[in-house]
Amino acid sequence: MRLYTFCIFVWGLLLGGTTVLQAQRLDPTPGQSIFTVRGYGHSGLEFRQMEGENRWKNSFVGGSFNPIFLWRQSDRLIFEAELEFGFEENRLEVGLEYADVAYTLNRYLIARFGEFLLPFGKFTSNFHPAWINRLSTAPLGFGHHDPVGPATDFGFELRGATPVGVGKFTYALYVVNGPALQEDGRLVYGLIEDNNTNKAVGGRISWLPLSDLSLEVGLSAQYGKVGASESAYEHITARLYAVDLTFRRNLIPLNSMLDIRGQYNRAEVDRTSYPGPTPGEMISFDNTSQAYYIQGSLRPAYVENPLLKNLEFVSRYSKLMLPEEAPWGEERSEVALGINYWIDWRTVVKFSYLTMDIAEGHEEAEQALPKRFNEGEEDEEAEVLKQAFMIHIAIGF
Amino acid sequence: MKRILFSGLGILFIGGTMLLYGCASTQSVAMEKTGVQLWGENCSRCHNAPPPAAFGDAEWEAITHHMRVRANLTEEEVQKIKEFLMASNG
Repeated sequence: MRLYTFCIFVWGLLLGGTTVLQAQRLDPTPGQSIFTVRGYGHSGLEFRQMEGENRWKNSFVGGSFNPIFLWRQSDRLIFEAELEFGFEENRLEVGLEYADVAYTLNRYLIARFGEFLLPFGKFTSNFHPAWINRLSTAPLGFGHHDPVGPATDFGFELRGATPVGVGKFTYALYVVNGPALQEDGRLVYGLIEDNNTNKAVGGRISWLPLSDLSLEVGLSAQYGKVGASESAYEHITARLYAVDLTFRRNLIPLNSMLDIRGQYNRAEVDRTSYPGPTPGEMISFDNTSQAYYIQGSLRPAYVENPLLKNLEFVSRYSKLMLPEEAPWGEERSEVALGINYWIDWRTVVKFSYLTMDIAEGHEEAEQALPKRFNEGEEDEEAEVLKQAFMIHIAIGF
Repeated sequence: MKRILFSGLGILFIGGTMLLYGCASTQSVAMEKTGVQLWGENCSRCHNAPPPAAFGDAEWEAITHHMRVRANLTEEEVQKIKEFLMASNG
C-alpha cells in the first residue's frame, strides 16, 4: 500500500513538474472573489404497492433541497460544498454531501482536497442530481442505501483532461480513506474517520473518441485495505471496479435527441469468515457485489409541436447482485419507465413507473431489505416494494 | 498483489503516454471549435445546456470554473464556452 501511495505522488510530481512552466501562463494573482449558490430540489407524489399486498398506498414526499455553495477565489481556486435537506423517518435530516477545494495547478491538472464526489463511474459523480437524473429514483445499487461502490470520500485527488486525436481523454487519480468492512461482510462507504492507517487508491480514465464528444467510455478502479486496525480483518482488502458508457446524439430522421447511459459496478472483498446467525458460528462466502444499469431516453426536441418537443421518453433496467451465500445476499432487478415534460431547460415534471423483481431463494434477505421506494426513506416495516408510480418535479438552479 | 500493482502501473503508463501524446499534438481540436459548439457538446453530455441569459457574468465565471473541475473540461473548452456565454447574455 505504501508503494501505491508513493506511485501516486511520483505520478503527480512528474506531471506537475513537466507542466509547471505552462502554469505561469495562467493568472497567478488572486482575482475577483465570487460567491454563488446553485443546486437543485425535487418533490412529488408517489403511489406504491408492496409485495403481497393488493392495495396501493400513496403519499406526497418531501423530496430534498440541495444547495451547492460555490466560492471562486481566483482563476485557480474554487471551493464547492453541497448540503442536503431531506426527510428521513419523519425527521428533517441535514447532511453535508461534499465539501472540497479545487486548485488548478496547470492546464492539465487540478488538485482537489477535502470530501469530494469520487470519479467512480459517472452516475454518482455527474448524473445523480434530481434535475439531471431522468427518472425519479437512482438505479439499483447506485442509491444512498444500497451502494455497490463509493460516492464520496475524504482525501486528495489529481484530475484533468486533454484533447486526444479528434476527441478527448480525461483522467483522475485519488487517495482517500476508503470503505470500511463491517462484521457481516458489508462495506460502508464515505466514513468521516478512517478505520485503519491504510489509504485507498483509485482513479478513472475516460475516452471520448468522437469529434462531437457524443460518446464517452470510462474505466474506474479503487484498491485498499478495508478491515479495522488490530481486528481480525486487518489485512482484508477490497477491489472496486466500474465501467461506464455515455452516448448522446441528435437523430435527425426522428427530429429527436437520443441519450444512452450505463454503468457496471463491482466490489470484491477478500474471502474470510464472518460471524453467522447463531452464536459461535462462522460463515465464509465469496464476497462479491455487483450492480449495473442501462438507460435510454428520447426527446423529440426538434419537432414543431410545442407540447411534443418538451416531452422525453425514458426506460431503464437495473440489477443488484449481492453475495448469494451471505445472510444479506440478494438479487433483484428493476424496470423503470418514464415520461418527462420539460417546462424549461432546468425544470422537469417526471412521470415514472417502476416494477421490482426479486430472485427466488432470497426470502430471508427480502425481510431485511429496505423498501427502497424513495431515496431517503429507511425500512421500518420490512416491506418490499413491488411496483410504484411517481410524479416528481425537479428543478436545478 | 503484484498483479494489481502492475495493472495500476500499466494504467498510469498508458494514461501518461496518452496524456503526453495529447499535449504534444492535438491542442488545436478545441481551438477549431466555436464557443457555442463547445457549449452544446459539453453541457448536454450530462444535462440540458443552460441558455446564456440564465446567469450574469459573475455567475458564469464561477459556474464555468466549477464545471471545468466537475465535468473535466479542458482549459481551451472552458475559456471559449465562458466567452460565448458572457457575450450572449446581455
